[in-house]
Amino acid sequence: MGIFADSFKLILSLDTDLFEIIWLSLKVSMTALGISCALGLPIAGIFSSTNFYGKKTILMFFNAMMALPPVFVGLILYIIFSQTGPMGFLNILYTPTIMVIAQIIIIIPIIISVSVEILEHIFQEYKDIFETFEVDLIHRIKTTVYDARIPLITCILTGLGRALSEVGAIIIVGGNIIHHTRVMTTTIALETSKGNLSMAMSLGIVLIFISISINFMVMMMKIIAKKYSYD
Amino acid sequence: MIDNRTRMLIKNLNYKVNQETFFENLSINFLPHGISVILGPNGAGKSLITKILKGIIKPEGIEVSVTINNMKPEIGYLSQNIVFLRRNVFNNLAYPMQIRGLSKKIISERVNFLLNHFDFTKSKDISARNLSKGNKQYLSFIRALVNDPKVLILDEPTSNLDMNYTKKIETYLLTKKKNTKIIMVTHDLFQAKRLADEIVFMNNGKLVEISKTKSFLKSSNKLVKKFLNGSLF
Repeated sequence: MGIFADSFKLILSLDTDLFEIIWLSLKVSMTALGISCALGLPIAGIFSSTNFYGKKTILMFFNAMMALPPVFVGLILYIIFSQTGPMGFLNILYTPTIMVIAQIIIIIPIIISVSVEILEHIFQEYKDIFETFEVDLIHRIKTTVYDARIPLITCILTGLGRALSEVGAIIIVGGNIIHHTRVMTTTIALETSKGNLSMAMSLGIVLIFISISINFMVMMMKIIAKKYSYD
Repeated sequence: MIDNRTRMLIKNLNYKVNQETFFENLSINFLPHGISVILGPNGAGKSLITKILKGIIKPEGIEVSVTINNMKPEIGYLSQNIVFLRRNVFNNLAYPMQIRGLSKKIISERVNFLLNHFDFTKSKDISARNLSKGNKQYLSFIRALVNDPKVLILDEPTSNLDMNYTKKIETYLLTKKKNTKIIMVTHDLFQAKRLADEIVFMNNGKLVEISKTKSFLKSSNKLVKKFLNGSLF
């Protein structure tokens, strides 16, 4: 019980190191999520509204990427961006930038694969409307994405959950450097191995709180969806 | 105004359904004005004709000409497959104008005018997808009019409607036909008699007869007679 009490004390004392770690975690994950959405949603829109050679193969690739082990992503990025690697000259290893890249690689397949399923269903349903009113491709995608906004938000929040809970890739590429690349999950791993269980537990509590908040938001979105989606 | 440069025709239509020839060298030259009603038993190809006229289905090597004064007109189309966006009634009616980039003011005026004209204002904030089957069809008819079309192609516009809505639509069509070409499919012979200036009778993908309504009702064609007697389904 002492560990729990110490953990809560640490959180309530507004420890600057602790909040620096939480802030960096949120910054890295939110940036990765933002970029993943900006890239993934238009790609999903195009995939769901057009047919082209190789589409199924690419979708199968993204589906397979959803199960990609984060540690492996970290390893590949490490090889590419280490000093002896082909992109070593960029000097981004052990920086938040590479952590964002790692998270993008992990969550973008989720955003694309899940969004395509949501959008394809609505797009097929709206095909008659689009043909009747001779709607161009850009407006078709805009309409489909807009009308799918509620289920898409659920999909985006799932991506955020995945990003926040990820540890394998960012510990390799970020290096868990204090005041620089240390985030919640990597700190939990480190502090546990050091025996500093109250610090690890306090971060665990915050992480669980964020996860519960995300799930609560997903649940609220579903309730709102029923009320305002005009479905 | 519709003048002699107006053409509503399908020429040399060959079309396969499930690998089998359905339309073979079919040509239909519709009356350039008034209401043309396509009649025929189930599976005659009536709905397919409306889709081809609208341009939703584009078979190769045929000539489809829907022109008014030598120009491609705005075509309002009502399909049997009624689908609405996940939006309220007002926004479903606004959508065809929104995608054309019309101003909010114009859109609002047009939608409110139509809702008012068809006594549907009280439903404007309701989800279009939650309307009854009849109301959906009625709304779908109104939606076909939002861009002020010069040609209206309607596939069974009143099949699920009560007398009140049917009458409203028929009255509207009879007024509108003065400056709009209307082609509609119906199974209701009485409706055809009330509305049609010309009847196009089809059976099994073939044009059996095309004539003015009065002539059609006195037709000596065996299939037409059978249909009029109610023994051709």
